[in-house]
Amino acid sequence: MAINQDSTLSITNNNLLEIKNLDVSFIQARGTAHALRGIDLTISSGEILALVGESGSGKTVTSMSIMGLVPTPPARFNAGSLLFRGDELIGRPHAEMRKIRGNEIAMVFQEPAKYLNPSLKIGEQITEMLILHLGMSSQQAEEKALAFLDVVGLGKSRRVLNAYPHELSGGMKQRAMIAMAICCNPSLLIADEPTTALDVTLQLQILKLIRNLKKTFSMGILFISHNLGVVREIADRVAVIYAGKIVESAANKTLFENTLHPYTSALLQSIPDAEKRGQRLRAIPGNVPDAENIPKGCSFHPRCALASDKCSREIPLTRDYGNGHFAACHIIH
Amino acid sequence: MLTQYLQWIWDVFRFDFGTSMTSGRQVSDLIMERFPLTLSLAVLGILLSIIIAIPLGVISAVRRWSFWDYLGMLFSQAGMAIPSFWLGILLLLLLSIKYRVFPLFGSGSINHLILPSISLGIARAAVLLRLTRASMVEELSKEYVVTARAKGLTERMVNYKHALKNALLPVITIAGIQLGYMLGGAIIIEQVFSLPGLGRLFLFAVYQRDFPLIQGGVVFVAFVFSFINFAVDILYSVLNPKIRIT
Repeated sequence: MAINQDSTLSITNNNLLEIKNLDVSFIQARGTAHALRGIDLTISSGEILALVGESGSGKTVTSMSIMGLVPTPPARFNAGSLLFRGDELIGRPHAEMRKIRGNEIAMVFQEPAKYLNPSLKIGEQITEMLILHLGMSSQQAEEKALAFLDVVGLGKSRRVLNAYPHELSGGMKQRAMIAMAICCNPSLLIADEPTTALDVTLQLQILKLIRNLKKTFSMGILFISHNLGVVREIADRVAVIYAGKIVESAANKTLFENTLHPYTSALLQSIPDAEKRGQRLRAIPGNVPDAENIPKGCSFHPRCALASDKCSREIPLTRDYGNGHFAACHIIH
Repeated sequence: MLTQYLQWIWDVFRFDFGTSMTSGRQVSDLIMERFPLTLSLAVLGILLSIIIAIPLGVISAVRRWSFWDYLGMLFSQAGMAIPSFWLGILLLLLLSIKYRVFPLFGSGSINHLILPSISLGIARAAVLLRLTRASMVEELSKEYVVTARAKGLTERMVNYKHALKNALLPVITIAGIQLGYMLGGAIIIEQVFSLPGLGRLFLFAVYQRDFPLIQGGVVFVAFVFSFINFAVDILYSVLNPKIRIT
């Protein structure tokens, strides 16, 4: 399902989440870290948007900003807006944000072993949300929790409900965590590298599960990952983030078949792939710049094989290459 | 020699530590006579220190660098620095001599135990407070706390339901060990408050070279100490689901 919408359409098109020019920095003793430098993203219901980038590129700050879990200070929202169903999230009172979190916007984390409370039963960790957000009685909440364990493929198992996290396998823990995230029927689900800590065979199952959730509940899903292979499997649209800026975004197929930005192609070449067997795996030289001193001009130019003088001087503008394909690079024509 | 030793061990198993050389009475009788007082003193002391330390430690950790945190730090520094006998004497001067709220010496009622257990408990509370704060600070930095916030739980639930449950584990272990030590008798405090507890019994036994009594005392204290540790381990497995007795 290619989503062909231009920018005028997207405003009228009832976006679930609309991030506009979001600019966040962290003020620290050793200097200001410019974590997000004006990013634009939109997610609509029933769509999986993948946000791809290396560690330190701003993926987590993006998701935490949406959740309202970025503490200010040290963080500062310099500019931009986060519109959830048309309403601004930035600057909402804590109490209001708390009611949205877990209830309307929920999150699945990377390592279920660490992100589940080790001394509370799975059932307790699910039902407490239902009781708090939906005002259920504990019996109702328990029934509902069982139903959601079933949805995520754990079956209506009271054994799982009464288990502590360490008594479950890694895949079961992640399923339980997903059940926890979706139990209040959120319209937006943020999945922060949900498969990274899992075995490859389990990864596929969890990806299938997430795709099913999108269909069954028509959720909008922000899928955060550094793994383009996984992203290709699951995303409807993909946005590539580098040093706090979206460098390229397009529908899944477009991005993989008609890659524009040199950073995206470099990322693609660094994926191990059966077709490229025998060839050398090409890692991108260098590291993601520190958010404290981002290179002038295009932030990718020091690592870019195609960089010219202009790249080190001017920040490239984001341009529309048709069919909702955006990229920010001087050398694309 | 060996036979003597085996005979002694056999007697110990039957709770027969022989006869005290100075008083001519059964060592086990002497110990059991003094033990209730030491037990109640230790239990009161540890309860008091837990009641002071855990809430204050948790508040200090949750509101780091706030007024409550500084108050807690001041308390724990002072509590660790002040010798308990000095605190005991001060309490006696103030509350028994000047205001006559509590009896000056003697034993037999709960009133006699309050001041000694305060003097004993304050120092323990100081240690437990530091531990609670450190443990709670550590738990609050764990990933599951982020999850709890992301679930939209109230800060109260995040702190007291999610973090505190994990933070209490090390505190309970140390409190148990402290209880074990206190059950061996608190020589100085018993002396200050003229309480007939185990500490003074053993002290006089040493003065008078009453070997059967000393031996009996050592064995008894060791036994009590291991029993408390065992009890703490059991409690630990109830609180920490990762350690389950199978």
